[in-house]
Amino acid sequence: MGAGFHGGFGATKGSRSSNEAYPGAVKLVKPGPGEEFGKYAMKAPPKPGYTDVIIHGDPDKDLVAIFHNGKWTNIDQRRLATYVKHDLGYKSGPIRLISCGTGKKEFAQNFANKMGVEVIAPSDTVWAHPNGSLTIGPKAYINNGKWNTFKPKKGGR
Amino acid sequence: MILYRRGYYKEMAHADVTDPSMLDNIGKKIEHKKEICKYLQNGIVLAACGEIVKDVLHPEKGIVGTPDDLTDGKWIWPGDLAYYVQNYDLKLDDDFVNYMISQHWNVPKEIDIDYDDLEVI
Repeated sequence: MGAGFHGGFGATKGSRSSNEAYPGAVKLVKPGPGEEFGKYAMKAPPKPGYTDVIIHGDPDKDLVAIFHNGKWTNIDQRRLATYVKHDLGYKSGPIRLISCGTGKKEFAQNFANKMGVEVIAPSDTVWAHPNGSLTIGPKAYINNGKWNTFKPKKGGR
Repeated sequence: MILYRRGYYKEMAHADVTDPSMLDNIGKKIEHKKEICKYLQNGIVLAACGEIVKDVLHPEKGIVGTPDDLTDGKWIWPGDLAYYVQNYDLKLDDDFVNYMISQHWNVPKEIDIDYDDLEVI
């Protein structure tokens, strides 16, 4: 059975025109393996009031990961919070965490606790398409997931 | 437009349970291994996955990459496929490899894909 795809190389309405540093976005996907995820996700239409944090997820470990100095390194919610707070792309306010599976278990809740702001995160794998559309699901052409919302809790991790 | 799935094995994170097993296709004699791996790595990213995946046969070997959907305009394959060809001598379907040969091992730099009329089978 065939399946349709969600986004071509043309721009999606409201999408950002640049994949460089941009107010309202923190891109933690650097040149190297998987870099297209950062490029495509930067084209996603911004969600008003939210800052996008774009980083690869590691659902097995319920962590996120960056490619640095030639190897992948896992980072937890504490280090991610430190990175985000020091990035010029983040001022304040809620965050859309564009990172695979981080809204499925505890990562996004822990991150929200650490940041002290609301975080929305995908319930499953998030796919970024060339035109900036984002889909959530087990495959790029199955968009059956959702953005889960996490409010910060006092005394959290 | 139709893209044909190749190189998805049921052990992989985003494959189907009905896909073939990698275990039945590794350790084979691979002609043109270097060219195949380069071709696979040069695929155009049709959909970028925000996830990293580990070696599914030996998880202790760690992270092998991101399972993006890659294409050459005819076939679609996962971003971690080249790793298994390189490291486990994973044999691919002849029709897929023969197409690479017919293209002189070059993936087109640009592909005109009509996303409103795209099927994956």
